[in-house]
Parts: sequence; C-alpha cells; structure tokens
Amino acid sequence: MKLEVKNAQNGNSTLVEVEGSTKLQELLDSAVEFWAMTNDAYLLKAGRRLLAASKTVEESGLSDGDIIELLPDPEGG
Amino acid sequence: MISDRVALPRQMNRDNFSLASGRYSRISLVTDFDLSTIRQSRICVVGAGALGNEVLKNMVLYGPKKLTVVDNDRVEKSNLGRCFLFTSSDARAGRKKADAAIESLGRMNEEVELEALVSDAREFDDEFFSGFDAVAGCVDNISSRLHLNSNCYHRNIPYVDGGLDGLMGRVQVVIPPSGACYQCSLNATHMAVLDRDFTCTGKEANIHRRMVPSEPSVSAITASIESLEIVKLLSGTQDGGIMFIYNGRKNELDRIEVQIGGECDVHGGVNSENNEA
Ligand SMILES: [Zn+2]
Repeated sequence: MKLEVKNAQNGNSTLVEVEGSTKLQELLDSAVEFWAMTNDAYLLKAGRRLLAASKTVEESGLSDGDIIELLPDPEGG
Repeated sequence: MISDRVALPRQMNRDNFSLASGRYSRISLVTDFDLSTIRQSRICVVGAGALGNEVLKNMVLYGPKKLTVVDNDRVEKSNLGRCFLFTSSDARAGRKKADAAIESLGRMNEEVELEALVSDAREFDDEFFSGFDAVAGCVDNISSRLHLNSNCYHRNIPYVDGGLDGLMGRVQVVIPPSGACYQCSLNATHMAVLDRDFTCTGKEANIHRRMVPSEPSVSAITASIESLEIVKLLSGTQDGGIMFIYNGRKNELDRIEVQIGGECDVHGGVNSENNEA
C-alpha cells in the first residue's frame, strides 16, 4: 500500500510504498533521511492521533492512501 | 443600572456579576475554572528559561497558594531577549535564574508564597514532587522530562510538559493514574538524542549541541497553552493523554491523542499488551 508522508516543517509531502508489517519507526527514519533533517526528535501523527513508532502499519490501523505527518518534537525550553 | 435588554456575556450571569475591583475579580468570572481550588494549589515550575518565564508569570497572576521555581542556571545576557523576568543587572551579576525570577514574580503578586530552588530537578525524587498539585516542565532536554514524568506519575501528580523549537511549540498533558504519559509519546529518535547527550558511563556528554532557536511570541503562545492546561486540570476540567502542537508558520494548533504504550517504562515496557489503550 502507499501512504502519503507530509513534512510539517517544510510542507512537502511524498508517497511511500509500505507493507502492513513495516514498522512506523522505519518509515520515520526513512523520512528524516529523505528530507535530510537534523538528528533531533520527531513524532508521527495521523489525523488527531499520535502514532506509536514501535507499531507496524497494520497495527496502527493505517490503510492505502492515508496521510501521516512528520513533526519535529521541540526539545527547547 | 443594567437594563434587562442588555445581553450579558455567556460567562457573566445575574448571580456572579459584580463590579468588585479585587485582584481576581475578572478571572473569577470565567466559570470554567475553579478559582478557589487554583488559589489553594501548590505549583512547581521546573525551568526558568523562555517557557518557564511565561508560565511563571501566568501562574502567579492566578494567585496560587505556593509557586516553586526549580532552576540551576545563571542569568546570561542571551536570556534577556526572551525572558522578561530578568534584568540586565541580573545578567551582569550572574544571578541564579530561580532567585531572579521570584524577585520579579513577588512584584507581580505579593499574595503568593514563592520558593526558589537552585538545583537540577533530576536531584529531586518522587517524595519531593508529591508535595505539589501540579508540575510544569519547562526544561530543555529529554532526560529531565523523563525524570519529571516518571516521578510525578508514580505519585499521581499531574505533569504538563512544554517544548519549543523556533516557530514550533508542544504541550503534553499527563494526568495519572489513567492516560498516556510523556514517555508513551517517545520513539527511537528521542532515544538517539538521549544517547547523544550522555556518555556510556551515564554522565552528560560535553559535546556541542545544536542551539535551539527561540522566538518570544511562540514561547508566549506555547506557555499560555501550558498554563491554561494547568489551571484546567486543577479545576478538574481537563483530561490527560493529550498533546498540543503549535505551528507558528501557519498559526495552527493541533490537538493530538496519545495512546498508552509504545516503549514506555512507566506503563510496563515495550508494547505491553495490558497497557494498550
Ligand atoms: Zn507511559
């Protein structure tokens, strides 16, 4: 299936081919590498739901065409 | 004389409308809040940087019983562009942030018992945090956030965490004993940051860290969300397990649900089936 991954920092998006068994952490790491983002903390969300990166695409209830968003997790105070 | 034909604002009715000019008279008109509970509460704000300054200002204006500031750092000139509780003379003297902050806060509201603790919050255990009704995290590292989260959760103390990076802000509300905690939201990218910050012997690594951009308006907005969540939870009108992401580029605010689980030690380890929400 294909998921659309959006980058909240720059507004760009890309389509990613995944299996149901793909871990979301793999997807997150690939997106960070694809956009050459800094080595900082990031989050994934789908709609109003934070996605647990330790889960698979299937376990997260995602399906073909779903949009997931990559967000920086601000560390500063 | 008020005419019957004058429409009163929603939060102002015939019973609570008052022309009283007391310090809290306008806040008391916000019927969503339990001001008497807020005013009896003990609040701990950890970190007196850009976020902490703003949260402390908001909290002291509510007049809680006690407001504690925990910070180990000294005021530097670079703080003056985003921390309004500090003065140039504080920076020149190299005063401790916690001491300088409570001096300014005391001028804002003399009715609040203020306490400055010049320490790293990681030196305090769950016994310490159990002495508060709410803890606000305004720190600049994941290690401190994990410490505050686990110690507060263990003692059923609500914890509201804030974070800033340029035009992005995050606020997470943790209300034990139910609901997701801060650690529930973490993943391997957070662990990589932790690994980068600490040596293999567990000491903080003396390495160059990216200087996190900080912008006063986003600090104020994020801190206001954090402050509002604190008074809501003290009033019993807020649920835990939620996160707010503010994006200053688009001026958008997302409200996100956080599920229990992930790789959270507080909730029983990696993907504990019993803890799946
Ligand atoms: Zn947890």
